[in-house]
Amino acid sequence: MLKATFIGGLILGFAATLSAAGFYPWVDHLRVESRTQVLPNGGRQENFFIRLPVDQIATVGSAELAPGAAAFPADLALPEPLADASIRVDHFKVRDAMGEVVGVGSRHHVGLADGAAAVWSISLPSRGAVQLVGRTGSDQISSALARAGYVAGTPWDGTVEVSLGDGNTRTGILVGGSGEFTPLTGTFLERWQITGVDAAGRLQGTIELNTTSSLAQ
Amino acid sequence: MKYLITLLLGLAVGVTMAAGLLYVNPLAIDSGQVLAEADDVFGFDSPLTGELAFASDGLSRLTSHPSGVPDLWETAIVKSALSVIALKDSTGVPVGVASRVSYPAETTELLTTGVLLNDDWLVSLPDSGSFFVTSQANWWPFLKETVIPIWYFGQPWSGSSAIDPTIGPDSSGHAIVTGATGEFVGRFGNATEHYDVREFDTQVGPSQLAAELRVAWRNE
Repeated sequence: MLKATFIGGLILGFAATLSAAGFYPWVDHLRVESRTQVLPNGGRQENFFIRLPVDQIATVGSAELAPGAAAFPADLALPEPLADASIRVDHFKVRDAMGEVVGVGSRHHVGLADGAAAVWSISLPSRGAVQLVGRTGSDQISSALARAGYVAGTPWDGTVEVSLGDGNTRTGILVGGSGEFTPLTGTFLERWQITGVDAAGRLQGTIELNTTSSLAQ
Repeated sequence: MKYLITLLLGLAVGVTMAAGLLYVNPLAIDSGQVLAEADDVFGFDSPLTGELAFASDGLSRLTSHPSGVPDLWETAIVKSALSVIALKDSTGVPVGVASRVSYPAETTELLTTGVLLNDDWLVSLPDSGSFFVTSQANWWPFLKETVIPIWYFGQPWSGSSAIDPTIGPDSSGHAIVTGATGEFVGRFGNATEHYDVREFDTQVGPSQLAAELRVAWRNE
């Protein structure tokens, strides 16, 4: 009887461990409820927000492509051959419409022969990545700040709102991504609302990404 | 009482046997395959020594750096890591910047797949443009053969090891590349990652490595 009990326990432990290895949800990212709206034309709208400066993770690149400090943290720098290149990379924590952090966003602003482009990859671990490709002037935000009285190197308070793009269309296109965003296409509007710049050049304000998407045909 | 003890003993032996079987599990997906032919090969260094910036949850062995980079402590992103990487050409000259956000895949299971990691890359080359790389990698072979023996069994570093972790998400077993701007607009392709680990720090992991992102563009 003892032998049978031992073998029964052995089989039970063996089977339970293999079952757990196969069926236990080893990775289960927190899935925050998606704050999407269904539009009258059948698409869906979802907005993402970035609160500056608290959501800034790292920034490096050309100071000409965006206002404020060229780098965060301040000692971050591109290696020498890229130091003078027309490229700026920003990284932010990304929030949903309720202000909850739901992802990590990378924004690359690159000067090209036919203008500048701002490209986003926003990773939402429980849902996948959404990829955005926008066209913008190389100094659209800096120019608006300068018109409002901001002088580089000095603190500034006020309100400046800039929607990136040519003013007639939305900033760019949503090209899909991974996970639940794979089959989607659409457009997006990138809007910066800047309410201040501190002495170190860090921006205060909000970046809003307004996405409208639908299933690709 | 003796039956209870016998049952528990049997359970312990069963669990140990199953854990041993899982460790050498022949069912788990093996390493990926590197792209045989690539149009572009970008080199990069270890996150410990060569990355521009790195952000993690702040509790893992590899901490956020440089000083001032905030930790990714919020619940929805706490298992994620951000790497800001300088990409080099074949001569070692930096030619671009990549941002890579990595997080464990929810399809991870230890019976038939392994430890899967999703990588969302955004790559930009000044004057040329940007492209996305969507990648899934299986790190179980590296964990099994290198990390676990060193970190948990106290074994010494056995020397250089080569890793080809990319297994998808494309059906070919490669990562998916999508052109975004500049000369990459409208282009698609595949990519794989390759790592040669040359030094392994017993505290934090690979301290010296030569890594490659290999990209093959499709003609469409």
